[in-house]
Amino acid sequence: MNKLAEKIINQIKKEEIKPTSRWRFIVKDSFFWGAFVVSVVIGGMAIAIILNTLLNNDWDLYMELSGDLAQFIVITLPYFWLVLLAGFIIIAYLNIKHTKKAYRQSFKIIVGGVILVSFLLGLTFYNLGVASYFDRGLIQRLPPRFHQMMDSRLGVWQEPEKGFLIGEIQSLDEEIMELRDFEGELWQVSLTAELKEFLSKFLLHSNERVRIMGDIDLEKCERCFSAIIIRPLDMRRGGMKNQPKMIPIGDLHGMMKMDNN
Amino acid sequence: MEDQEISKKTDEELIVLTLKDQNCFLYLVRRYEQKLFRYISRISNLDKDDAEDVLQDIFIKVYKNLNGFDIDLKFSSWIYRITHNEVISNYRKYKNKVKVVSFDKDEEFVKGIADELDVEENLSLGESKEKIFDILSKMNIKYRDVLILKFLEGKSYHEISDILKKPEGTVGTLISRAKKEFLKILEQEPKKL
Repeated sequence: MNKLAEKIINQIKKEEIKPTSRWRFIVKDSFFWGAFVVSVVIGGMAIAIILNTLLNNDWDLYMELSGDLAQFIVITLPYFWLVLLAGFIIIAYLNIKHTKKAYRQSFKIIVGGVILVSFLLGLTFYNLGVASYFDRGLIQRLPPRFHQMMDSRLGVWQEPEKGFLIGEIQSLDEEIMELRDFEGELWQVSLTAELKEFLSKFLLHSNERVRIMGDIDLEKCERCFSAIIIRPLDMRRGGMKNQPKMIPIGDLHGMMKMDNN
Repeated sequence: MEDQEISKKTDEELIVLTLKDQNCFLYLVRRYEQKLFRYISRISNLDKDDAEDVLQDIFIKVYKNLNGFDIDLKFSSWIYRITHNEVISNYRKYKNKVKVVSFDKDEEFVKGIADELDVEENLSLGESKEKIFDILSKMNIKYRDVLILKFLEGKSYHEISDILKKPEGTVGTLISRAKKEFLKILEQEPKKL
């Protein structure tokens, strides 16, 4: 036995050094894979919510809501979810980098793969309508001051003086809809004949979150609102095939001009 | 089991035997100590005693992590990886210990690197050895390491990729940059003389 080999074997025996258990390596590797999968799923959810926000954004009403397309994009982009998505892509990358074979792939391939998988997952979540329920569930569990951070659209629509109202339906009959806005105020929303017909096909229900375009009707009461357009904020359960078509009621732009005059 | 019989076992078989009987680790140590000692000396420029201390720590680490050995890898790549990581992560500490810069003057390495870098024309045969080692000792450790793995240890791109835990494309880039740095230092050298 040569000197170094002898020293090593003696040290192993003297210090009673034992090989680390195989399980520790398996647990460690599984942890990184598990964390990677969780990160990709959260990234997928973020993409689903971003898609939900962008595809259901009120692109046809940008003129009324902000007066300018660029400004409308800036104020309604889902920043929170974009930052969260970027964060979880980084976390997914760092986790996969710690697995045994990931080093064989380049940064571009790993990050590209993470984005692609997240996007496909996000598309699936979006089509299943999961994103909207997740988004809504999360918002309901958070204090109101975080709501606008989670969904930029809320700020745009919480402007009753400008003719935009957003909230949750409390009750609904043929004439009046009771709506609680996200600041906690209760509104009496009166519906036009066209809207009533539209809503009869639409089957809005209590607790549904809607955005309404119209005008405050001070002649009736302080919290009375005449609706011109009503749109649900969230997707319906059952995916895209169950989503109602968004039908503008009447000549919206004409009506808005008349209102302004 | 006879000494000769164990010596004929593959590295992977020796790992299995070592996990049953720690004395079998001796055969793995014997198989790799010279190669790793040379590799440590070449990349870190440590003197013999310090290089042996580092090597001892590396073998203890290898022994502790035997169950984590990935059977899809070559054992030699795995043990070189542990050695590389140990030297690089402690390089700052080792650097202060370096007193004498010394490379063993391996003929094949000199020829290999001189051919590859096409520097034979710039150097006379006598001075090429000294100059090449002098330049290597002045290089950034990450470039020196990759040149040593390629030209001195004779590792393939795939093996270097497994040792450095970098994609093969990145290994290619590193070797290419290392060659450029080598040539840059070579160009600067004569001006000093």
